Amino acid sequence: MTPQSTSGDLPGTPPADHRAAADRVPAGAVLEARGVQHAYRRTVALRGVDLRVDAGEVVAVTGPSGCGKSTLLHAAAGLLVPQAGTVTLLGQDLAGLGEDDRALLRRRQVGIVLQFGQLVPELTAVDNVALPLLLDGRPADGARRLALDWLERCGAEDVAATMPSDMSGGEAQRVAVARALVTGPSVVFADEPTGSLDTLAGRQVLGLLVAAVRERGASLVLVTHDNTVAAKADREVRLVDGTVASEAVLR
Amino acid sequence: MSTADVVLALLSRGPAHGYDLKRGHDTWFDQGRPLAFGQVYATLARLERDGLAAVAHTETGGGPERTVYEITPAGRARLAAWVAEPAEPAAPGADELIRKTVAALRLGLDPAGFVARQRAAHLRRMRVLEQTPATDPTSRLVVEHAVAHLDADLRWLEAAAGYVAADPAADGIPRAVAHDRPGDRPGDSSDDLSHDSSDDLSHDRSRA
Ligand SMILES: Nc1ncnc2c1ncn2[C@@H]1O[C@H](COP(=O)(O)OP(=O)(O)OP(=O)(O)O)[C@@H](O)[C@H]1O
Ligand SMILES: [Mg+2]
Repeated sequence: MTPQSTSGDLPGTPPADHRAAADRVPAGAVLEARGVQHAYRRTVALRGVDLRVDAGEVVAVTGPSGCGKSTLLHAAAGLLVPQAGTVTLLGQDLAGLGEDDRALLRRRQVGIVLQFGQLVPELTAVDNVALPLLLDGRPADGARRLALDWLERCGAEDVAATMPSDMSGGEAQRVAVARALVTGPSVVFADEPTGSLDTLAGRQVLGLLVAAVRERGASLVLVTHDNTVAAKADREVRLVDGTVASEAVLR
Repeated sequence: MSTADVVLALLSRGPAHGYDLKRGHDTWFDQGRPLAFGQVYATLARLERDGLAAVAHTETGGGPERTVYEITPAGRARLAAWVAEPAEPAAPGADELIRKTVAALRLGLDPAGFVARQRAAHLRRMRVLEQTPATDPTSRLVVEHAVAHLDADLRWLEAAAGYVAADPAADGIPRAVAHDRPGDRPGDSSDDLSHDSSDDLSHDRSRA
């Protein structure tokens, strides 16, 4: 299933709102991370990583398990403040923003698909997807309609009324992708789930995500182990042991 | 894959002339080299000689006369036997990728750079293949095969780099023992050994 139209044309979407969001995408870099370092209690996860993502660019972050991909993604998306280095996301220095402003930036302009536990367990799929819109004060009717529309685009309409605990891994991932896209974000961060999904199902959902992001000219940072998924990107950044081992333009 | 087997397979769909068969081949294998007309006719002649195909009739439309071929019962048997026999898995070690990787990694010729460049080349190729529109479900299958192979190459490349990183000095080739080690007792007199201890390692490995 491929999305048929841009999100601005969807039922229940105020088109001006979405175009304004797209207009806020700066022409140059949407993400500029420099010298990012981060250590957990016993492990150094990132040893000074630079990552730049241009508007409309799809970047795959790859590398062996434990090399720091998720840590980098969390730092770039403002979910974690790294111990050293700077992250500028959509023109904003993340360290200079308070937690509330970071949350607002994420909710309005950033879509995030996390590796683990992304859905709110107490909510059905459609409510999970509508949540970012509701938190932003959008009328419930329109939010739910838009959420349903994105569930359909992501091939998850069958589980619209299902609770996360009753979904398969693939279904939950589709719902998470719908939730990341529903607000019409300028940048999407996606951390590929490693567990429950077989490769084909995982590839289908990620293919869908890449297509949806490209269609609206947004940017995507995609963490993946899967070479065939990385091959959908414009550029690959390969991490090994907390540093960038290589970078390749694939376009 | 022999061209004759594919032509026979295409012929099993019904009587066809050379152009039909060429077009069928080029649709199935649209990433590969197109089948030359000369090869089609030479193949048909061989199949006919071997009793696997026969002339059905000749078409005389407005243009030049065209021979229409059909598969024979012997041809169908041959086709069934061909499909029934699994294809020979590719023999290891005969591939340019393997030769280059072994040389770059074993000789330490900028192995990290080598891996990065090869990775980029494979991913770019994969990207082009992934973007190839599926003109025909069969040709999509062939593309998927190529993608799966590229993926296997990349995973192998990563594993190979990992092994070599764990043991970077060993080139794996036994030294000429009589030259390097008069005593032939590794480590017994360090004065004799101008080379480093990695040679001992490669020795032990090659014996194991
Ligand atoms: N919350 C945490 N507490 C302590 N150590 C952590 C934590 N999160 C990650 N680490 C460690 O930091 C390193 C980098 O982890 P990270 O999750 O970023 O790797 P990754 O590349 O995403 O791995 P994977 O491919 O397995 O998801 C690892 O050694 C990991 O064990
Ligand atoms: Mg991770």
